Amino acid sequence: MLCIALAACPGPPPPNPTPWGEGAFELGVHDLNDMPRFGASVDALLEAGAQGGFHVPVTYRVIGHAEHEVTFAHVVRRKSDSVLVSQGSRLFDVTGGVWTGSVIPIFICPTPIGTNALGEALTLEVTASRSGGEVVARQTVEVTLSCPESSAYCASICKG
Amino acid sequence: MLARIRTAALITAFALTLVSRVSEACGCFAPPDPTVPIVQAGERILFAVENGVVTAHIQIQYAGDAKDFGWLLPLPSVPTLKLGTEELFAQLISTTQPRYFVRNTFTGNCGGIRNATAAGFSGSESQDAGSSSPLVTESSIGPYDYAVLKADSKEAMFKWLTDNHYFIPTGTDETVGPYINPGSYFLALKLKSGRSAGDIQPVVLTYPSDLPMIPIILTSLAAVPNMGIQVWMLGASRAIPRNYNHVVINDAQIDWLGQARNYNEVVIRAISETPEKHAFITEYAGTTAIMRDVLDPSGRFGSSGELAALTDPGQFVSYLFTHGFPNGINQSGAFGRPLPPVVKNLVLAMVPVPEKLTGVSEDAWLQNLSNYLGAYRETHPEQFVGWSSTFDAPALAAQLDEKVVRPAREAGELFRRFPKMTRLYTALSPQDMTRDPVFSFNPSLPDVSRDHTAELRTDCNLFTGSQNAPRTLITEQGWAFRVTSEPRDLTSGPGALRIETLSEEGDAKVLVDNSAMIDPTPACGCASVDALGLGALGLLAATLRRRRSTPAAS
Repeated sequence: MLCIALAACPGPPPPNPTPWGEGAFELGVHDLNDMPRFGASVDALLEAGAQGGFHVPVTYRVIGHAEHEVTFAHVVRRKSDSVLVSQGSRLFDVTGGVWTGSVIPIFICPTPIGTNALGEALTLEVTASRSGGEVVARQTVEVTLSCPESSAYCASICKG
Repeated sequence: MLARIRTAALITAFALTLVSRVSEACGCFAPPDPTVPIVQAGERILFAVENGVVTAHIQIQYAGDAKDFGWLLPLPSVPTLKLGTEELFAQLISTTQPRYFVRNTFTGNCGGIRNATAAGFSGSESQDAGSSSPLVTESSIGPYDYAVLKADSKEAMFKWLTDNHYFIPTGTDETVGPYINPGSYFLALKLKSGRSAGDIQPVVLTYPSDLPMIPIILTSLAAVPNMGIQVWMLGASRAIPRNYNHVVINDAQIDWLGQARNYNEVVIRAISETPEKHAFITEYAGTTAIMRDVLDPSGRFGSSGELAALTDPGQFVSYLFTHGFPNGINQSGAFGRPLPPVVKNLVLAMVPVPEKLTGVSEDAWLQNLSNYLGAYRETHPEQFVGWSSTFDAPALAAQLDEKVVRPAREAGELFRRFPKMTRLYTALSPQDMTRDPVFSFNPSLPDVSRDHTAELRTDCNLFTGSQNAPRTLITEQGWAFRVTSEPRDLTSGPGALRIETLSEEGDAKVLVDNSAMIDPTPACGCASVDALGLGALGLLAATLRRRRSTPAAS
């Protein structure tokens, strides 16, 4: 589980039935310089994972809220035709206020058969929801992915 | 001749027209035929996926010297490693194996029911960057020594493995490239000193990952032509091959009347018809209920505490037999079944067969241990000269708990935690192992049954008895052909009915549909009535017309 890296963490969060509100949840995609970018559109470099796969590194930033067991579900689609590229979810504890978590790898390659994920706009949407299913926040960013220069293998498995 | 049956009603309509009395189909399923052609799969893996964590049960198949055993697996993170159980795979194969049945039906008055054709089962049966050491951790579990190494540098990793006597298969150097990345890891296994290949048992790995993948490129080193790869996926919905095609076999090519012995050949042929030969077939997709309480029925294995208290070896081993250690069945007849190798080896390590006790197998020794150590020993003491036992009930009970009981119970629990199971199969040759398959899920796809039924219809009529009556086989997909004494050609048609892609949402996308190739021109007659029967009907009709047209005598 990801946890806060701050010195002074407050105690257990109070129950909060309402959504987090505008600006509380930010979705950062690590750009070509491996810096997290919290904007609307990012050019990102795929990173090699183990077992021969590639992923796009992202960061979730939650400001002013603390909750246990929040599900962060991601969906990546091609912007041109909405073809699904990747989806998945992870469970995190969001505690203590401003939270900059570790890099989260969003699996991209091997892409679904016949689906190219390189060089064209993809929409990455992340939805945060509580254990009861209530959505507390949602963010979308447009990402254009490329492979590391040295990896012909990456190109071969990211083009479907 | 082959023809596609459009509707079942057509068959019924013809039958009613021709005959005055319809002998209802016996509707009985022929009893299953135990002669199952077993396909030796080279890889068998069960994946369970939940919340970004993958649990993989991996069956390790190896035949050779213990010293030459080496196993390498790339991983995205440092895994949790446990021992698995062979029984998991034996039960999975058994409960999800595709089965091919033939149902006999009869039309007309056949004067007695022909013996049901036997149904056939078809099995497919298929280390640190820079100056630091790459070693992350090393330990032992069960029969293995293992090490988790950082995969930052191939050279550093290989050097560590060689220096520490881990066997590296020839050719690994060329194929390991895609898996060498900063932040990645390798798990290496070897057999402990003094262990043999017979001690090998499955391993269970748990590691964070979005989707499970098989590093098949690495496997190509030890692969054989058309090596079977069986994958079972547990999850919330039906699993799919994410980056491989999906194929539905053409069941007209199945040797239905020959116990479906050619099933694996048909699958191999179907896969060879797909692009790059990268395709899986779904052999089962449905509930995990079929595996619940199979590995861990209530009461199986008894209690470790009770076992540890049995200081008499005969009573100890007897407890094993009567508490489901042979095969999960608690019954007195269990003594007839041998103990599985893992259990047997553990017991024999402490209570070996005396060297002078010739002609007694290990299984017989264990099944009659109380007698051999009791009355038999008293009357044949010379056969126990020099024999000693290191029997230690608490220690043996603990070993059994670690290597047998807990793995079975933990594997059994999986089938209560996950509602859906999918069995996927492919056959790949080394030169085709160029892409690592990744698996995902699609909740909108329908279930797939492992059972397949064809109808063998015998059309009796006024002029043919059951022995000479024409017979038609209608496959599950609806292909119909006349059954004659000549063997049917099962090699010239396509192996695949359809080649398609499955994605994580929506229906399958068909790439190739071979239906037209299988049935280019619908043939008439071969699935309905024979010419002799039609001729008889015509004669009857003509007779009736002449009678009506003859004026009545006034």
